[in-house]
Amino acid sequence: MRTTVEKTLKMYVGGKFIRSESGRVLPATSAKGRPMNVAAASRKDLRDAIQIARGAQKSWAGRSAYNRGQIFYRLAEILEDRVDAMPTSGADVLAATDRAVHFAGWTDKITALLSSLNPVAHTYVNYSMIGPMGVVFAAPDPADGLTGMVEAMLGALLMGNSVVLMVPTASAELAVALSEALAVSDFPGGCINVLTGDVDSVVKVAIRHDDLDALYLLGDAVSADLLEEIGTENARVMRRLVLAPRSARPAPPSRLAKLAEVKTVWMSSALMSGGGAAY
Amino acid sequence: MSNTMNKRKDDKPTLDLAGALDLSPAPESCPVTIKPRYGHFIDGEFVDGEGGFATINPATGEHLAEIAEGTQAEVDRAVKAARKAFEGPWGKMSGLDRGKYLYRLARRIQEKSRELAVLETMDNGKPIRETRDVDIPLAAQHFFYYAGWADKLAYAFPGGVPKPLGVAGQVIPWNFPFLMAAWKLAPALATGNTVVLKPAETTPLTAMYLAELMQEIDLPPGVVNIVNGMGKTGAAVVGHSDIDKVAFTGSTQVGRIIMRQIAGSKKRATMELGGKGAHLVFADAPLDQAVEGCINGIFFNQGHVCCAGSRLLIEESIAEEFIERLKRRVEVLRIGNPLDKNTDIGAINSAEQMGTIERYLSIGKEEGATTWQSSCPVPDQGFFIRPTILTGVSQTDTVVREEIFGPVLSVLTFRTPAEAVKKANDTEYGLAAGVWSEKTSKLFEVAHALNAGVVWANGYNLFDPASPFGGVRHSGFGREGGIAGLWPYLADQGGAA
Amino acid sequence: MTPTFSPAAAREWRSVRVDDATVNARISRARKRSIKTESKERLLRLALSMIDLTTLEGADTPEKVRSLCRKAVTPLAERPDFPHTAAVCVYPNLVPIAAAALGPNREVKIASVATGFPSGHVPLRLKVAETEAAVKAGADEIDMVIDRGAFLSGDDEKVFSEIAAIKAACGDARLKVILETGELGTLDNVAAASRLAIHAGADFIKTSTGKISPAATFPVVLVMLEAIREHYLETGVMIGMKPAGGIRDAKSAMHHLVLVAETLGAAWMTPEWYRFGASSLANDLLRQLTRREDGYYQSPRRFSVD
Repeated sequence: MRTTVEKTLKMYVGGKFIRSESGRVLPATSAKGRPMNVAAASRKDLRDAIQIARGAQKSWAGRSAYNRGQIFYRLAEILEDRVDAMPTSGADVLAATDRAVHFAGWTDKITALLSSLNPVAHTYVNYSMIGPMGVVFAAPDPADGLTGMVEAMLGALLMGNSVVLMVPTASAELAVALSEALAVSDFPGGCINVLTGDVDSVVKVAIRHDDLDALYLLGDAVSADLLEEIGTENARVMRRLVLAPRSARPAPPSRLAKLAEVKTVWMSSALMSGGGAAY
Repeated sequence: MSNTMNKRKDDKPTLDLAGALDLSPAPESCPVTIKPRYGHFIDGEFVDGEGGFATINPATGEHLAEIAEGTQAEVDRAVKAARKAFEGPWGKMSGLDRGKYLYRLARRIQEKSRELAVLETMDNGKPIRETRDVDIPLAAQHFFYYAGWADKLAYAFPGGVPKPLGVAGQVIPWNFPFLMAAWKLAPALATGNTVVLKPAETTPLTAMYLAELMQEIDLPPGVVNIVNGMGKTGAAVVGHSDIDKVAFTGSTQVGRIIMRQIAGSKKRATMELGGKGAHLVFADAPLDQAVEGCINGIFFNQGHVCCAGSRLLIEESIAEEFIERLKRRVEVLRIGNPLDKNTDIGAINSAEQMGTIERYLSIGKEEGATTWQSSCPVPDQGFFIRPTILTGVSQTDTVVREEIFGPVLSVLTFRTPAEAVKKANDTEYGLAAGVWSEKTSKLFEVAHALNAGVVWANGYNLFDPASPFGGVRHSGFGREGGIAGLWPYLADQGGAA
Repeated sequence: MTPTFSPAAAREWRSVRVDDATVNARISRARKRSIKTESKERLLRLALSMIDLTTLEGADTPEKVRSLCRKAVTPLAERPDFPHTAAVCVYPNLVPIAAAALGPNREVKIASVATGFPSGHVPLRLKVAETEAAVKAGADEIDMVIDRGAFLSGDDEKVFSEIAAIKAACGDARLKVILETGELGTLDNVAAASRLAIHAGADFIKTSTGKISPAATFPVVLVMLEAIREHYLETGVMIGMKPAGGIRDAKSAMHHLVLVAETLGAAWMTPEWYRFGASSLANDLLRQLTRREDGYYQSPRRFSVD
């Protein structure tokens, strides 16, 4: 029998596959029952990921919605292509693929649904448009597999945010497979970063990092007793916490709205009203 | 060394623009296979059809293929196939899966974009620069955009689950043959309707190529059926008793005939008809860019554009200078072989349209217009008209009131914003208009005051699937693109609980 | 005659408005011009003849300048039929070296940067002195930088009078005025600074020092060409144009020539009125030219670095 070659599990930051700068790993078991070492994201890994995500956010949001949709769709193409190679069930991969297709269709539509032209009683054109918040720290429910990761990541990305996705040690092998799909799906480096390790301890660091704009936690991504601490730290910098149920269904627009900011613009449109001229 | 050595003391300084850039031919090379004859695409199969007429390359006069002329019986079969698909697989399919077919089609179009661009240019006469950069990529984007709506219709129409109408009969024009097919098909299919499409008789080739792509992606038979033919075939499609929805793009005259034909039936209709777009340039405009906008507005696609900015309204204080700028820019446009990558203005689509444009040019002269044409050489064969600017015209002149559908720009002046709006709105049409100014309040107020379905501010002829397009009054009704593009293909639902 | 500054004229230069989106659309259209076969050959040669072959490094040596001069005269030794470049462009200290290398009957001009290049942060009297020294040492052309700080603060008169003073110091040398468009922030500012420079006495307007990025972008070049066109149509006086910095490949150079031809016409399609400030562009032009003739695509190693 042939001796197998085993893959080193790395994290995905800034378009590159990296080990933890701390050199720390956590033990886990692969889908095939082999022992694995999972890169354990450190305080510094998180700081690096946030800095890289911040640097990538503007250009990601600046791409056309059509282009971002095509990148999402490309991810769907890659995922379906790898249905048999992913360390999860085929049904999970196909559900994740469909989720990517679904979100691919939102990038150039969500703005039209959530923005508005406001009929103010002034000679001003007044409109409210949605836009990205910035850098979002996202964590899926540990039981939601690949679909959960895709859901957590794409919902935040589609609004033009850049994302640091935190995946627990037990799902690290799958997170690496997802990262490898991301790496060939034309995502610009840094707009999506995938860290692995102990979620609660990384979240505790994240909420003390002030250059993070929101936390997006799905299902039981973090332990319940951590929520109060998150709330307290968020209050300090008015950071958004978006809590969502597990990923059985894609985020509806009402949730996507929470992953965005709203800006309202008043634009003067009085030209002839003063002069008395009429058409 | 003196800078004034080239000064022409005898005259105003002029620029030596025409011919300053002598470019060798740069023909697009992409062999396309054109079959000797095309029939129809019914129930997922290509059928031979009966009779026939020729489609030619308007740039050379070369015969490209023979096209079957769809009979009533063939239209019947097509409608029947569409009905069967609507009641069968397509109607029962989930939105996500419907969307996936449209995504597949978008991808195939992207993959075959070069061939489609060459084919479209050969059949239509428009420059490869446009088919390559506009028509084909925009068509792919349209399918991509509407693909994404297929599983999200409930969000677009809160309060009820929207239902498709049934079988749509769609008749499309020759000016953007492939793009118009995409504009018609994508929203119809995304919303769950099935289609019988009738391409224009002078430009059927890319629609038949699209049928091949639809076969390749395993689109269920009958979802899209294509019946070729002339006006009679089109009338058979829209008049068919089992058609639920009529969508037409073309002239106001034919639109009126169709409206009469379907009067009394319960068919829903959308009409995207003619136009006489006003292009307003204020003295505070960014002048060189406004010139560019005017060029895009009227000389894009040889002026065969329903929303063309064919009436230029300039603020009187800058009119003379602006026209000079415009002429200088027009002088560097290249007319000729549409397959050459450097051609800016291609061939007029048909002898008939060439005749129409020439008739309008002589009417313009009779009515006292001053005609200016660029000095660019034109090919000996094929249908070509130099870019033309008509000055000294007034609101009552035929060339100001009627749609010419060619590279002919009529120029008028105004003194105040109110006068500009009044003149711009003095038309039976209302498809599109443009405004140029660096003053935001002026842009907004004038844009809002113009009676048109689309207004571009500091731009012209911009299209995007996310943006609704369509006209008011004699330019038609209904919108294509954006959320509004879904409305015409969905039945009213529910109401507040 | 020294031009005089007028606040009213300055307000007019500042009133020109440019719509960036449409400029970008115009550029994208020009860059899709496809230049093939004979026209490519012709434009490659023309571009080569328009180069101000430049070295402006702190580490420049006499040997490097001599080498640059040899390359300017004979861009490729085995192809004496290729045109020489328009000029070499060096720091004032190295003008004597270039003058000695090129000889008294030179066809290649010597351009020297001056006026405290690249920042321009030196007193006017030193700028004038530096200019006079460069001309005296043999410079045929002076490439000066404007005071961007003064321009951005609205002190047009200071910018204007400095240009006028340097122009006076140039004597017979032609003056190229560097706007450093990468620091001007908007195309409106580029349009205004172009007009200001032209009225103050520039023979050429030039985009950049090459020390700031972005440098000679297409939108900036178009707006400057339009300023030159306006001036010519108003006065009959031709002004030259020099994009500099960032033009490294033959294809970009071709598309710059498309913009010139379509904006200013045939009269500007000569080294007399159009220059490229570049160092590595020459090698890519040579590479494309030799490929056209041999049918082989050369390794860049075939061409000397200086």
